[in-house]
Amino acid sequence: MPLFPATLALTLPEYPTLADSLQYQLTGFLVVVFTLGSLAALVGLLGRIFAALDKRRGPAGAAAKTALPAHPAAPGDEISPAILAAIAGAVAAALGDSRFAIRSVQMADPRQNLVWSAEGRRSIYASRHVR
Amino acid sequence: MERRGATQHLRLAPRPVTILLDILHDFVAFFQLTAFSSVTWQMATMWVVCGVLFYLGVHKKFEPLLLVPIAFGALLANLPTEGMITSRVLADGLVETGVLTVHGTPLDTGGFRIDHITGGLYDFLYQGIKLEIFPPLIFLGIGALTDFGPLIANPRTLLLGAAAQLGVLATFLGAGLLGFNAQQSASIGIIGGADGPTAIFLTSKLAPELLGAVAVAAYTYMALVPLIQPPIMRALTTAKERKIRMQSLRQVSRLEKLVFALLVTVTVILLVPAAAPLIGMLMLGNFLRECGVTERLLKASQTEIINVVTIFLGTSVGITMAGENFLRPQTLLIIALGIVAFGLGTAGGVLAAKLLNLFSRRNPINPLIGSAGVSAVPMAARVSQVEGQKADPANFLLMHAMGPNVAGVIGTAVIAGYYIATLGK
Repeated sequence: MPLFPATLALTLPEYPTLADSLQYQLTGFLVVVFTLGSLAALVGLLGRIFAALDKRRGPAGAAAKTALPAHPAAPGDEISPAILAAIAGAVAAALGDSRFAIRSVQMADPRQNLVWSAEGRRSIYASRHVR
Repeated sequence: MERRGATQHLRLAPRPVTILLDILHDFVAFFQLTAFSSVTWQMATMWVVCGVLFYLGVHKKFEPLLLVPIAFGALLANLPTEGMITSRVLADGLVETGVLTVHGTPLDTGGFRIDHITGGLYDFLYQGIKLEIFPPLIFLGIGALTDFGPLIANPRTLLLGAAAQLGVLATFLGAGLLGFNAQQSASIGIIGGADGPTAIFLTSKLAPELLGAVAVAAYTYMALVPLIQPPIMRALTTAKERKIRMQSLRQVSRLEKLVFALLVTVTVILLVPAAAPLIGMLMLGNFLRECGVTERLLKASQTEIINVVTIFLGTSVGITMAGENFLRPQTLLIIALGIVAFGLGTAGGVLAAKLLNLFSRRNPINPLIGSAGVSAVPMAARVSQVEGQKADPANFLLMHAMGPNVAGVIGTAVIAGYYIATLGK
């Protein structure tokens, strides 16, 4: 005897009636919502577990977490004159004839995923008309 | 015959003239070997269709990475090529492409020994679609390129990805009313998932005769997301809702991302085993990305593999677009239903976000990110960002919208799995 009885989904005719299709689609929607809802619940639970673990580690743990091995391009490292010249050249090319002064240049932290923040900056920059 | 007689008569003429006439005769006779006589009106019409696809892909930059190979494949399908692809006309007038011929010898033991297999270049490459190899490989690359961090940080957005599948389900009903059978309706509905590889995966399994039209509609509408979605998003939200600023997302650790990849793999495959090829490869790619110790494999997945497979997938889809298959009223219906699917999916995501806000007033969701649940990564998320900034220039929704955006990929794979499990032949 099968574990589950035969359902409409498994016996759907090639050309189902509207009522059959509706029932079939609502079942499908339930499958998707249940699957993704279960995932949402599990991921939420996972987040809580990780948050609790972080809390248990306390400040010492957090400090240990941030004390990553020194990266050759960590913030604060000196930027070579060649890179500064390249940045100045890029700024000049972007601003055209405008006068400008570069007050500071900071190395981005490569340990963070900055792709999306860079995308945000790029879109804001692109939306401004440079006079 | 008459020409040969004339030539014999002219043999009496001075020799250089005879040679010249012989050359002319041979030159004219050569044209019998060319393919001009094989060109049909359907082929000529499809050249115009290919021209439109090239225009959209090259000039308008509509999903050029897929649309250009599809258009080129379609051009090849509508030329009387040799050694490229084998076609077979079926009883209903449709053309089946990618037909391999197996030559062998029956064995005394009752078996069959394959001596050799013949077919054109694309008869073999097309097996990548027929055997459902290419779409999962594309998913490997997508997984390797996707950051699930925003989704893990705000798991509620998984529900937005589920709600956006409303378009898929509603379009199934519409397609059924227009006379498509259940398998075809599912393949048309999946256009609303805005996920090209999944649409190809499902259609090649359930309704391969619609593959070209479904793929073209899916990729064209994905490129048109910035035009299709904003009016629907604005119509379903108030100015106040569009200005909602969401709480900053927490940082997600690498270990959490690794556990997430395994969790999704196990949960989804246990619930919907038919989605295993897509979800398994998606999460394999993502695991390679997050584990941090497989840099070469990650790079290959993000670049070489996905690029090579994209060429073969695109051209293999295009090669199914023989005029006899594509130039049918069905194609126009599929294209019309595709935009309905997209619109309803967008509406489903936005409305679901509004619904969730009824239960979570302290930490509301900007409904504009709901539209990103239709996949189309990352364009749909960028649309949410742009629309959000129109209402409040200082509001940044991009990272928040990435949650439902990648949830939509999982949701579309799940609904495809449901269709395959229940409608698969």
